[in-house]
Amino acid sequence: MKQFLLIYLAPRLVQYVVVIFIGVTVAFFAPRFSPVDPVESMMAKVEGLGMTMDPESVARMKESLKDLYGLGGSLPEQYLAFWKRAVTLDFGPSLTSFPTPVSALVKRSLPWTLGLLATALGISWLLGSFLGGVAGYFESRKWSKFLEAGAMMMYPIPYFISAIAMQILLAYVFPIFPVGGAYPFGTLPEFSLGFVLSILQHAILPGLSLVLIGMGWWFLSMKAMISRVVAEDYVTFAQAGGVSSRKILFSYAMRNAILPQVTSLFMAIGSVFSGAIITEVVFNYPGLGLLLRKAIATGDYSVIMGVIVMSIVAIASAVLILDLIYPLIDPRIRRK
Amino acid sequence: MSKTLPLWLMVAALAGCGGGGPKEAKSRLIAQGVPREETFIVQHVAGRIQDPDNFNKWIPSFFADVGNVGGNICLNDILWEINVATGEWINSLAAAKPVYNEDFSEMTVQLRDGIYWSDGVKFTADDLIFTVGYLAKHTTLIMGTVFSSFLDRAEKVDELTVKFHLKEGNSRFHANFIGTWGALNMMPKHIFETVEDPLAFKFNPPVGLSWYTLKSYDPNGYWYLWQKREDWQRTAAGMNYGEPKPNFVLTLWPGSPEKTVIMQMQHDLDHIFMIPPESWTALRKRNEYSTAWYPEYPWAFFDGPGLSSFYFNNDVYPLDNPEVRWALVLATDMVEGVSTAYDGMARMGALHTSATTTYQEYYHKPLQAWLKAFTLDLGDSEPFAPFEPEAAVILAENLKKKGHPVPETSEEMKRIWGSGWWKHSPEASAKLLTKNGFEKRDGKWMQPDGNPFKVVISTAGDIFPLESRLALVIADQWRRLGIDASVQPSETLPDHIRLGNYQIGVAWGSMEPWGGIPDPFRALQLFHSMYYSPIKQSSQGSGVRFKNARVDALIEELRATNPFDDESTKRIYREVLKEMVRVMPIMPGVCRIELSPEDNYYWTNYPSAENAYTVPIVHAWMQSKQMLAEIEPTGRK
Repeated sequence: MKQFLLIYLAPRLVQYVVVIFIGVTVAFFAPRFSPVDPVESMMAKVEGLGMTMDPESVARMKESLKDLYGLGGSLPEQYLAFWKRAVTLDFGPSLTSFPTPVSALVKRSLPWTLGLLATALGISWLLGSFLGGVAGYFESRKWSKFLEAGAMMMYPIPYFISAIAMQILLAYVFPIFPVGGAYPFGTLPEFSLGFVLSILQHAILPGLSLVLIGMGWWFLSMKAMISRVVAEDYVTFAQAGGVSSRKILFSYAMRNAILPQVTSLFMAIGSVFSGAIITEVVFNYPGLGLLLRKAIATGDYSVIMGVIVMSIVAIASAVLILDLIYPLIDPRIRRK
Repeated sequence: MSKTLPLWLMVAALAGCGGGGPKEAKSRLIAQGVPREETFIVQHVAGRIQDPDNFNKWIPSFFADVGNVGGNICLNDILWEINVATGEWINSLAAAKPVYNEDFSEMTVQLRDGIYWSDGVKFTADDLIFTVGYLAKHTTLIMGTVFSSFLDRAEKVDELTVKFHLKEGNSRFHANFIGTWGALNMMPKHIFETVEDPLAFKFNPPVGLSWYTLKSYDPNGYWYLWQKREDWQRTAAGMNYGEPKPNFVLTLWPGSPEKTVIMQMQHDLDHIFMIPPESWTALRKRNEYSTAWYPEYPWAFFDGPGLSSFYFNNDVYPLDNPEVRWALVLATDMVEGVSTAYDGMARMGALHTSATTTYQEYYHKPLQAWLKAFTLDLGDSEPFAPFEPEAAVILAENLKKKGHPVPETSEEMKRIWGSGWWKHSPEASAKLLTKNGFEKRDGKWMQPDGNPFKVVISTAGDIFPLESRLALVIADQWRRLGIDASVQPSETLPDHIRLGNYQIGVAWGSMEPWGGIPDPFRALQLFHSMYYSPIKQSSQGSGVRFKNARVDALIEELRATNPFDDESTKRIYREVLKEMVRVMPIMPGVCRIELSPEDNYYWTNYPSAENAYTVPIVHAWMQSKQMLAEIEPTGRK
């Protein structure tokens, strides 16, 4: 056990902390070097109201805004202050939605993103991997070739094109699903069966678009993996020994081929936390992607930091968890 | 059958899931107790509101401005409004125009009697005095520094009269209370006087002075539902326009243009703020109830006061030379630009100001003789007259060839497409460049310093996609003449302009006076050198890094002129416009295209060219509220 802790766990924990530190540091400085200044954006909005401000009043207001937004002091001072807050996941107030805390904005958007993206990711991974595995094993069958052709056709289509095409087809030409949103305009969220069904109905189209495109990739990668695995000696021996195809496929071939798929899945789970900007824009879905996009456009450092730090921690944690469970999936690592 | 059974089951399941889709689209209920036929549904353009529960619009927050999501037509009110469509000055909360003393150090405002807040408290001089005093005291609030800088004190003359004592003479102090899309909103004294921390106060539910109140809002920031006040008669809007017809107004953000169009095709969106010409073509073909400003081509409303223009950075070489700027103007074919980028749905403006119908009368037409006589020295013996008074006629001919119906008379053509623009003269442009040391080598213009003449036009990208189209056409025209021109979209363009981090930017903000009354001060003051900032320092003015002693003197003369002395105002501003033409700090462009379709399925009698009672810009423009009283239900359920 001690050996496991020292040789296997400790280096990974150190790596985990270092990755987060470097990632967060880069995320802190990057928006501050961008040409977008939240104080300037706010001033532009204020002046758009048609006020008659003399330059002195303008300068005073800018100073007030800087203090208010916590942008006073030197960069190192801001950096230290940021770390003090970040360890408690307090990213301060949003600069463009002042004084609403970033945590409140994230809390409002995160459930929608997780609900849609995590579900779609799970479904596309399961379906893609399963179908890819089966199609790879029975490569010469007609339906296998048909499935592969379908996946190859879907995969290269840019997501925004397929999403808009599906929207027009299934929301306008055949108005089966709503055009967008998470629930109908005018309806207030409530805990009722009707509202839950409404949410599901609104999520099907964006979810379907994600599943179809995502599934293409999972299918192709799993199929390629299985095609290599079935050429291995142990599969040939198993076939020669009269082991059933089902057992070879699910107990030997898929188990060996699934490792890269699991790695990719965990990386993808981490990225779910930064939202799917295109999906949310196309389907007007109230998730983190839209929040992040607006924050970048308006120079809302606090929100950018909040979402990116969460994403960095999520991806690093997913990789750490993956490292920890890998020995359970792959006995070779366990033996090492 | 057994092999296809799963497929059929899937189809049946999908159909079952989607059963609510069409039902919902045609549902008669927007929400419990909110029938569709009693609801006017309007697109707002503020996007998803991140903090939808915050109605304190005085907080320096980018999103907490309920005015942009229907508040300006439903909840808020200001002292005075300007109707851009008619040029009319509208007394709203005020009973009359402001009255200044001789040196403009005092401004007296008479308030309208009988106005009540939506919670039943009477609106009086105390509210106005409290608002300006509160803001002057809390300078972190929006408009706080304005009142702390200018206002000495506000005196209550009687229950409905306020006299502002200013720290120094300011003939345009009333500009803070007048607007098309926003100005100072009143604070209810009886609520804010108990607020300890105004920055933390969300003002939820909001209390307003206009004819609707907030019924509910989306906690995820996509829509706001407003309900007609039972006592709508006790509002300035009710007194000015009568009873608003819809019992409810739903303002929403549908998302991308295609979703917007689909929603109106399905009669789920009565008013669209703005769509591109091709979207309009698709919409009107598929929804017989959709109408626009004109009943036929050119469809769009042309009287938006903003003029989309090309802002030269006057401090960047070689654009710091007025003759180089003029060379770019003469290299531009605006007729082709309007025809190609907008299919003719935009009015050209040759001057550095609005090109609204009223501004055509105040400024463009009276300056025709001067513009025709104005010449440039191209470096040869012949002076060159750059003005093309027949630009609208040339454009109309061009559009006629494309198959569009155009008016018969040149007067009507000019009324629609403007009173002229600048000549497209590559020869004159080349002469000006040559005169200034440029040289053409292998078909490419080289600057006097030996480098290629390279210009980058920055646009606001997806924020104002229609402006980007014109930039692309004009960049192509310049490239054809040997200028290395390119277009760079950036959603942060306003920041770049403020910091001078650009060469040419397509913008309109600093050239947008109210567009209805002759006084241009709101926009013009930004060109005073007191607002000049070097590059890399934030500019609070026009952003073009403009300094001109003559313009400074004229702005100061205007500042000392009675704001209601229209003839003096026009005289002074015409002189400013002449000087602007001489030095050409900005290449004027076109009125912002406002193609705002309305669906006549549930409501009708929208404002139009034939019935121009107000502007068709509902989402944020205060004066559009008149539409709520003028539209009529069709009776469809």
